[in-house]
Amino acid sequence: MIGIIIMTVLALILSIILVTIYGKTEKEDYIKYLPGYNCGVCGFGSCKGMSDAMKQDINNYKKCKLLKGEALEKMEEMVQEHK
Amino acid sequence: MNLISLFIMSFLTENIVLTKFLGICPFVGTSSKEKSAVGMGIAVTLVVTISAILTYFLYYYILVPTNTEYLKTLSFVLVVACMVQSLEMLIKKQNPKLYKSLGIYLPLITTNCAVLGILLLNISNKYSFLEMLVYSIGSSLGFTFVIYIFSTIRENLSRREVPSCFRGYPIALITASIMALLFARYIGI
Repeated sequence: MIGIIIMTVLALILSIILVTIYGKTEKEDYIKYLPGYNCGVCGFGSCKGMSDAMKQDINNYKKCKLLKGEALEKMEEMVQEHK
Repeated sequence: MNLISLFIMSFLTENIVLTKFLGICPFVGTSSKEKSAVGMGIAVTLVVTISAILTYFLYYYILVPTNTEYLKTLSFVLVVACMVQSLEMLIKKQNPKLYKSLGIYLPLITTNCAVLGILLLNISNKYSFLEMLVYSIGSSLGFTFVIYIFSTIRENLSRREVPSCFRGYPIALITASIMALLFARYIGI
């Protein structure tokens, strides 16, 4: 019985450690802020490619030609928060 | 003095790869390039050192008082897996190039016998905390040292003319066996 309790507690502690490290290292997925037309005008092929490129350099969002109006404001807000 | 001899013993005379034959999978798998071999060695050293400290406290302060020593293998595997996962996420963020060159062998540190072997030997040899630390660091540095030598030999061999039936892994395994013979000569110093 005590063995089960020890293993459960140990697994719980280790999983909490993993989740906190994951939250700190994994960058946000920017794809939900992009228009989602997959037009490829930006030069990265698709919106998935754009979100990967944004992980390298966050200012890449300026190359998106379809990001206008409210969506652009939202994106800029998010970028400001990240900086 | 005792600690120095323990370090030399774990580093050379009782090398984890060439005399105990643990951790052969990454030894052969990641040693085709010098850079990935060194990266692998450093990753193993980090995982072994951190998880050795954790498992020492886990064993002597939780498992022994509650009479559940039989859980040591299971709980050590859990700790090693957690350490490897967190290291993988850190390397993925800090150095994506190294992450790509290590490939599948990075998550496979979890099943690297050398890591679990060092942790279990720490317990079965009844080392104190300091001895345990020296032994783990020495063994994992020995692993790094041997995998580095092996990778340089393999890089050299890839440029030489080798009979076609020996090309690739056969010649690598023969090299490893000759290295093991040489390391066997260290026993006794």
